[in-house]
Amino acid sequence: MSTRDRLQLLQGTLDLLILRTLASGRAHGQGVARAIQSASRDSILVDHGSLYPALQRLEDRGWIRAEWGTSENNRRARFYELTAAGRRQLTRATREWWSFADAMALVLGPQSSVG
Amino acid sequence: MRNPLLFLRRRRRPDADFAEEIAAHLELEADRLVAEGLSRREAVHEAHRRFGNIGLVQEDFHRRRTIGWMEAIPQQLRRGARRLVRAPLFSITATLTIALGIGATTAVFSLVNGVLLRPLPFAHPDRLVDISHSIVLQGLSHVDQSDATYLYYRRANHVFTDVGAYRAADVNLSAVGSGDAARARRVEAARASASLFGVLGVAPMRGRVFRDDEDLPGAIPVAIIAERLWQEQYASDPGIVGSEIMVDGVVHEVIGVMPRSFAFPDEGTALWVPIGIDPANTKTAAFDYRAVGRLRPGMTPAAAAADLARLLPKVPEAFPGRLTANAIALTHMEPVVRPLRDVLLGGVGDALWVILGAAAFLLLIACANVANLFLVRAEERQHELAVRRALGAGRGVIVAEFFSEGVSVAVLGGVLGVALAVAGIHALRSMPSGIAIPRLGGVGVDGTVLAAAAGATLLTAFIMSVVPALRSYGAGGASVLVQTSRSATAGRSRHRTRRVFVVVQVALALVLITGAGLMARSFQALRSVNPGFDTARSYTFRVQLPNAAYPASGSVVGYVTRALDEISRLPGVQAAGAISKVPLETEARQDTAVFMEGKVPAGGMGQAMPDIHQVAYATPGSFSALGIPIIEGRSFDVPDASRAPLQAIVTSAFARRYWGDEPAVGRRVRFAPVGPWFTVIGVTGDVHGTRLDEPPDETVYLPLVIAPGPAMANGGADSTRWSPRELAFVVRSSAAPHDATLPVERTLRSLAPAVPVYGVRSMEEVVDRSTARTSFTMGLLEIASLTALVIGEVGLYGVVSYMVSLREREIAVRMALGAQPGALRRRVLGEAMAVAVVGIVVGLGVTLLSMRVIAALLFEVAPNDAATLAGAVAVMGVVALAASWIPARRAAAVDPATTLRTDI
Repeated sequence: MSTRDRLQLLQGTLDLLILRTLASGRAHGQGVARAIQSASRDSILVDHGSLYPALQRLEDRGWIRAEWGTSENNRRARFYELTAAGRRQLTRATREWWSFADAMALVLGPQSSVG
Repeated sequence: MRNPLLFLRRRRRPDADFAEEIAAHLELEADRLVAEGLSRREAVHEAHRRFGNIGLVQEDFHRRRTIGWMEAIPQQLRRGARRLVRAPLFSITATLTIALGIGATTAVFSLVNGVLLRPLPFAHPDRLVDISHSIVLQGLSHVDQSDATYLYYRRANHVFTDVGAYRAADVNLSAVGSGDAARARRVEAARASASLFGVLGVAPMRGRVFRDDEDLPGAIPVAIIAERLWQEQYASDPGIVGSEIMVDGVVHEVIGVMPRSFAFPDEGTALWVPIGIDPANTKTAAFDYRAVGRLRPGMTPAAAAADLARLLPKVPEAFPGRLTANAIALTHMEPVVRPLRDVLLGGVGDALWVILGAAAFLLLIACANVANLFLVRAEERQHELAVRRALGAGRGVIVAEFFSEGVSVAVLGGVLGVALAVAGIHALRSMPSGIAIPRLGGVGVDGTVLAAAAGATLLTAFIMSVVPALRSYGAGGASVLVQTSRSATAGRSRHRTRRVFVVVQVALALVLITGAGLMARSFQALRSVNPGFDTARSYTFRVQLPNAAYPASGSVVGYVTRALDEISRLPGVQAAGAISKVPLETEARQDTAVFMEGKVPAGGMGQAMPDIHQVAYATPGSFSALGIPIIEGRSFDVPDASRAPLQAIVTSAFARRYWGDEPAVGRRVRFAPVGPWFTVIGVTGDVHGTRLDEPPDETVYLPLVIAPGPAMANGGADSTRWSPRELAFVVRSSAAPHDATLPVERTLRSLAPAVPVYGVRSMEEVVDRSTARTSFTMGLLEIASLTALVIGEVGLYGVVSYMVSLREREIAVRMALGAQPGALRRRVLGEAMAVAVVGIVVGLGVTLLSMRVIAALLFEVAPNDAATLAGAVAVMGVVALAASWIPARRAAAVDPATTLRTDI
């Protein structure tokens, strides 16, 4: 699969994906990127360059918190986990996303027609 | 939307920590890739590739973390400066324009600050008030204090902590001794009550001030000198206190030295002697003194005036004399209490504020001009900026760039401007004839002025940068790229902004030109007033003959007669005389009550108050020496000290007031309700002796030989401020100015070595000094309006040329399609003039609204004088036409072939 075929992330979706990924447990940045990639079956390629500013943005808003730790293969890494506020934000953003996606689906019609 | 205050909550995360996280990421990613089968080297390379631009991400983090632009200020300024150095013509023009604006504003503000805003150098100056009286009399509306009112107010009031009295009275100062030591100099001096120093709250730097018992005449003579005099005349002699000096021929003991800050009542007052008021022997109706009161805390001037109004009717009881309860009631005499600062400053505020306004206008014009330059520059860079925006440069960065350039230019201009201001103030202070502005000595660039200049500089930087910055901020990258590509002309809105700036410049310049024009016309009108005397080749020399050296009036007359005799024989001298009051000089003016024979004043005999008129004492020759024509009758007889003739000469205005068209010669006047009559023997032409812009004087001239003797003692002399011992020799000479004055001075000196000759000037100088403030205001407004014209012309020229250069293609197309060069020229010219006309119309509106503020400074010209307005519009129109002509011609000279070919 070439980069060209991969989905470009819509503005704001990266934040939601990060929050969703961290909902399953704490992870470092590279881990988050890998998790999103594998969960999307490699459809979504996370731009590493925008991942870290996004993490910082979420941390600044108090949705995630970070601390330095050691990775499974003994590398020092900065681990992120969801805060309570982050959990609430995830719920809210997920709801918004689905209502947005539903609305898009209504306008675009059933998937089969795009085929 | 991000909460803008979020950064306050953020923990500070160091840049290094973020960098470390990225490094960790790259290692983890490489580990994973190795696990997928890549070699270590390939894996590291691939991890980097997938990450993208690490530096950019880190810089972005840094910018978001710190409030980016604040940390970047020095860097931005450096970059801004570098960009400016690369565009020297632009930078120099912009900087000089700003320097002119800031320089003018700073110089004038330092004047306003030093003269008007700087607190008086006394303790709690806001509680100091001047105490005087309003009065309703023909020829008099205002009097100060007599010894009686001062003494009674001081004793009986409930509103002042204390009251001090003073009277400016210059003296002849010399060392004690004879020969060279006895050579006196004229020194500005004042008589002061002991209480004055306490009221003003200034302590001597050496010695002591006067004691209350030294107020009395006949006390041992003492004097206090000013620090400046102490340094200049006595070389800061530490033993000065206790030493003896000669003041008006009398030995005085120096008891104290006042610090330089104590410049009271005038900037140049250098010596104080006791006031010499005798409570047992008052002249109750001679209002010779001025009084300063210190209000008790919380007391207002109005409350103080009310308290004094209660006291005034009781003054005659305490001090019986000519000031009777009846006189107080008949003249509606009322105490007036005004802040001391207002009284000391006089009317100078009007002129200064107008000039400051003009300077501020000039600064605005400079700002508009430079903002326009910046706008043009920004446009030239629009393409570059759009590319940079497209490549990811933040809007903030680009806005910061504009501001950094603006700040660089403004700061440089501000520094230059302050230097200009310092030079300007220096020039102002060294102006020879003086500009009739009080407290000028204290004017300088101090902290307040620097702060104001810095404020003006920052404001300037803001005004200059904000418009180009906003434009670049608002414009989207793509639209700019399209708009500024060569196949299009610049956007309309941009032209509009530039035109607005030009309109502002033209409008403000028009206001300044009109102001300068009105002042010039006032000045012209003032100088075309016939003063009533002939200024050409007429010179004055002042002397004061001290009582000590010339105790008897006969000796004064003897001195005057001999001096005139010797002066008359000097080569070139055509006429010579001595007179107590020189027209248009303020010194030695005397106003006194005048009673006319056969005229019963309104209100009935005994009930009525007399009219007040100026009285001057003159020798027969002084009229021809001053060139004052005797239009009816004749001049005085040759003076004879032993037999003073009871003669008077009156001015035309005086004669008209009392006798209308009937002959004045033969009428009789006197200066007391009873006493000898003086017969009018002559009438002079109209003399504007008080001010050129006031109606001609109603003056009575008496023969100089009449010294205060028994004949006058119980009469008019009571209310005289004049002493016949202080007088001016007036000489008309055909010799060159220098040859005319030197021999006269030498003659007077050799006649009386101990009597200093001062105030030596031509009558032309006297007139110049009397109009100094008008000519000063006019001069500054003219400088301001000329500068405004030049800046405005450059601005208009720049904008029109730029518009032409942007439209070269369009013009070329038109020409290729057959447009005539002449028509194109007219078209460009027409567009430029349309902008100028809008500016002129706006300017006219502003002018009509704002010229009211200078009405007080004008003379015989209305603030909305049509001719002046028309002239200003014409000047502005011609300048605008000139500024547009060259670019218009260039437009017509566009070669379509060349221009269109380069566009492929």
